[in-house]
Amino acid sequence: MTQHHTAPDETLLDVRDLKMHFPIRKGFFKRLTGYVKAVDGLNFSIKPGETLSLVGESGCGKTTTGRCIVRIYDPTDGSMLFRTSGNGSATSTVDLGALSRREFKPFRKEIQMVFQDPHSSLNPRMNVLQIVGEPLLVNGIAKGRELEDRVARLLQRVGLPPEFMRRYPHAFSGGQRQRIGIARALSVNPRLVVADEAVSALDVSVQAQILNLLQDLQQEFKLTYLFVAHNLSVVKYISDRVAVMYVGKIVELADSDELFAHPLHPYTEALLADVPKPDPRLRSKRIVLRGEIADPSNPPPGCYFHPRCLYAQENCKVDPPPLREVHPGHWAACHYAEELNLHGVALPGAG
Amino acid sequence: MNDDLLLEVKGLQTYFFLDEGTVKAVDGVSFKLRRGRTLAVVGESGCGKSVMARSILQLVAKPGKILGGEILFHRQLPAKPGSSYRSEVVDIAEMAPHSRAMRAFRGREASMIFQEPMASLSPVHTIGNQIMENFDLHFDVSKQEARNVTIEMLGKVGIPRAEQRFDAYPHQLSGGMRQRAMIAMALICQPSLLIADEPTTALDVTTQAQILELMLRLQQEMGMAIMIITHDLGVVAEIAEDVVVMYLGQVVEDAPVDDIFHAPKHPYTRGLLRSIPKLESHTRERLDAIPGSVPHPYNRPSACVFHPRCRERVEHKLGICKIEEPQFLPVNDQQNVRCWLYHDQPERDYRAPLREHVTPAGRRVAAEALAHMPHEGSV
Repeated sequence: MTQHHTAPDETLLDVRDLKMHFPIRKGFFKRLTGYVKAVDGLNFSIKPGETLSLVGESGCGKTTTGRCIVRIYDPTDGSMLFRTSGNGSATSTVDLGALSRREFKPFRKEIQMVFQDPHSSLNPRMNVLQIVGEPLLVNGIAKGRELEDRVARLLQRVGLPPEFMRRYPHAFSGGQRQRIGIARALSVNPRLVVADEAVSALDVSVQAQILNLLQDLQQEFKLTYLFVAHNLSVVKYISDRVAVMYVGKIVELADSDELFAHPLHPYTEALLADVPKPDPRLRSKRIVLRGEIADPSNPPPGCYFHPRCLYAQENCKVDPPPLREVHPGHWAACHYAEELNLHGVALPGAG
Repeated sequence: MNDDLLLEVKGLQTYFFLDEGTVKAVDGVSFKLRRGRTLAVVGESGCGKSVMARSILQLVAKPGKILGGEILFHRQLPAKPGSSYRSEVVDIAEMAPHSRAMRAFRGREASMIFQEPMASLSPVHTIGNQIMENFDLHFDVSKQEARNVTIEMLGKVGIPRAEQRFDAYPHQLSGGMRQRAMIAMALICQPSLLIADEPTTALDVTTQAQILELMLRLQQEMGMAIMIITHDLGVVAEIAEDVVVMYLGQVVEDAPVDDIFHAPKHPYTRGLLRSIPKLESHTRERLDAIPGSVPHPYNRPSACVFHPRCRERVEHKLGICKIEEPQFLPVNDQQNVRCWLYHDQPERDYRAPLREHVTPAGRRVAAEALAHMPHEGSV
């Protein structure tokens, strides 16, 4: 697969041909019967200070990708080149995938994660001071009085009163818990934050608050986000670039405005059309995508999307389309990306 | 006149009596649902929408209890020769949850589908048997006949190879297929009311679109009324004809769907609409969030329950909101709202707010705001 060569000083993280295959074992002897190819050859890069979103249906491998980057999973193959902070100009890149657990430890500070479910991602037996302070303590950054001060400042920054420091997670609402999770992720001054469905479990009014908070924090702390989400309208608010995934592969990657306005892959078009529009006057202008996402342990031949694709031709059933740069900066994996006239979303004021 | 009325809920109160105090989950909810229509109940978590729906089927578990109010179900009786429609009205709220009458009603005349299909299907029974059970209970038919009806129903909800899938277990189906099986179970007795509690929340957008389409198609075929409980205003816009907006156990606004989206009246409804991310936005636009969060049920605000989060109260300098609870009153023929902003139109028989509580400047602002409101006074 082709990949543009960016100078290493422009990217924070460069993911090349990332693969994560989970073995399927069956029977008494746990015989290996196949692999679930959750992530199968991903290429993308993230620039410092930008937000890249991974979107797709459940089972498309977006969460697995995020988890590979923070090394919750050890990827099967591929490299994840991360630019180390280093002192002054002495920057270099390391392959996060090739490091041993011990070697990876210093990078845990730099890459943090915010989880989806604020109810299960906080330890109910720890109070807020312990939860938010733990990364600081473990990494030997602060302790005692200083630790408390830093936690207080963090809480204030994410919009929680520092007096709540001695309370336990059960005393907080969903939105407040998500703020605690964000404070914990930010406590060690990370450079890359992987947010896995960070607002999906929240109510609309609270979701808006957390999205705004994430944007504010990004500007203030110069954060880089890898935002994993299934809700395209949420993604629109936060992303600079968006990668659409389908069965372990990226099918389209472009600047956010461009991708929403001029999708080049039929799957992206269908995803956009299926988002319910909050206006009853726009009803039923949708392409209801038939069928279900393909099984990643037994994907169809050719283009993985062809059984559901409205525009599929004969050669789509045999030829897997490569991800190619159709327009500058706009990548799509479809044989007919140039010919199809797909519908995107109109921007306000654009007619 | 009321021939097409199916369900009428009046002043429903469902409270939970806990050691820590009483939670007023549903506190005086009233609305009407007509035959064959789709009503959406919208609100954030903790607004009581699910408890309200469960109350209609008497599915509220202890320590919850229906304390007051009426749930009037208009049952259509088979027409007698000579006369046309006959119907009788039963009050569900008065039935005992385990009574024979209630069990005959539940599943037969009104049924419910739930958010998480995996949690609401039994993992140790085949989906065919689970669907058939409902039919078996309510109709006196042979096993073979019930099986045939079930297979037909599975086909109707779009489950391919229905005959083989009859013997499948829930874990062998995908989320979308499980939700289809749930719908088949709910509709097999051809109820006149289907209550769908967040039926698509756990599903992907593409699957969600399929399920919503299926529900609408089945509604056209079978003519049941749908009451859909959801927090997703996109789903509401897509499927509903009438909308009820709930906040902390109360209905704050009800209106036809077009008015909810194009002429919302209650500050909470407007706040919700502003805070949803829209596809047609600019990248990195800021969202207009409602400040604060839904209060804990033990610290219910006094007077108007929305006043601590209400921006329009501050903008219009209304003092009354903290002191006295607003009534749920009509603003036009089809729209009711519970808000002090609309309570003192002189030509209507509203209870005027206590004038001494409102500053003169505030009253002027409120009156001006009212005058500029679209659709106002169009009766």
